[in-house]
Amino acid sequence: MIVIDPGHGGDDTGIRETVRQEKDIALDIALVLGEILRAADRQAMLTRRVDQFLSLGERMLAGRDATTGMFVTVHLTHAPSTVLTVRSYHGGGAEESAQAVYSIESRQRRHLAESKALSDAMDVVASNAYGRNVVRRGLPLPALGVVDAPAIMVEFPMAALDSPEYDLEVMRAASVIAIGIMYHERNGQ
Amino acid sequence: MSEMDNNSHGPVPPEDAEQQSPPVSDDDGVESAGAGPVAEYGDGGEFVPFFRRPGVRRMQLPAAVAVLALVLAVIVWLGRGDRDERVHMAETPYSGPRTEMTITYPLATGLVREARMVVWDPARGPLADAVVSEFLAGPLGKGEGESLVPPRASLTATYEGTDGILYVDLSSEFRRNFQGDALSELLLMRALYESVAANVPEVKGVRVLIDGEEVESVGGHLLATSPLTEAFYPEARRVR
Repeated sequence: MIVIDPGHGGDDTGIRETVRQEKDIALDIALVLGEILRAADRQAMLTRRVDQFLSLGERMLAGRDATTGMFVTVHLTHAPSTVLTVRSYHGGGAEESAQAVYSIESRQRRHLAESKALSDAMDVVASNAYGRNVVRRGLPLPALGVVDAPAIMVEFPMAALDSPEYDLEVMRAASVIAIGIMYHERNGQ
Repeated sequence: MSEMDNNSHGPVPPEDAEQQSPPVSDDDGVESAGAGPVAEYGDGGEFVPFFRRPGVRRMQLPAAVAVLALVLAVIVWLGRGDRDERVHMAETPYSGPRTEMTITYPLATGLVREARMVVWDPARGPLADAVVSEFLAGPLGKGEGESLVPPRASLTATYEGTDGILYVDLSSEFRRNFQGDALSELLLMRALYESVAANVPEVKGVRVLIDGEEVESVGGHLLATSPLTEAFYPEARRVR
């Protein structure tokens, strides 16, 4: 099961541009991505299918259930680049508290290598789609931390999506994620 | 011809020539002569608006210069930024005692630290209030990246818990006007924590409230349900 999480929603608009808001663009990308994955015989589930508020806690619950597939959360950024983010953990070893090590947010630790491999695959695809304009990050994001499977946040540049060719750009963004997932699966086998 | 007629239509001295000129029209073609609020009759009894009287006429150039200067002053005053205003406040010798603070600001490029002298009177509120207010005012430095501090956000109050946690109650603009991605939210929250911790050492953690209420998240990427501490994103990139 691939869990697709369109960021924000409801009164949490995310980035607001003159015409479109992040919550709507993320949802459009996620809906197209779901169709592409289902057409490719993958099981896909969206955390939301309409414009509704979803708390981080609810997203984390959905991510926690993605135990046999992967978790992709879709957002946008003001940056001119596509941003791929995996969970990072600060510190470690004896200095880190037992509470931090055994917290639910530490579930992603055992999948970090696979998440980075998924990020590698997305990087290749996004670089081809957007002209090698990709940034890789590791951040302590709770929505990724609880996922007991490979997990990644993909942030597309707002400037690229907020264009007259909106439908085309949405399909391109969804295709980047879908092909990235399949490229990752293919390389992993 | 009567005496009055002679006075009205006789030779006119050069300096008074313009008094006899036809009424001027403004851009809309509306005649303005005779429409002024103050008017008197000339020696011959003719109607002379106040702005055609000799004394007033000579004052027109200085008056125009004064009006132009006033307009320029208004433009400059309106164009000044909040930053300049804060500089002015900080340098005003009558505003009260000043304290040196180190404030960390989140920029799109990373965190920046600024040391500045801030007016703070202990009798008028806790130091934490002044620190957070200075944080919300945004950085003075320019050219290092766009500030990520949500515009028009204000401090409602701070409350210090017995456990060393400082509760920072902010206006709803802090959440509503946040416009950033996941990294921006991390930098914003880290900068707020660093600003407080650097100036109020007894504070061990910072918890953000919005309009007096606990919130799950400020920007939709991070949980705000537990206090920000030193362990929160210490690897944040620093511009200076």
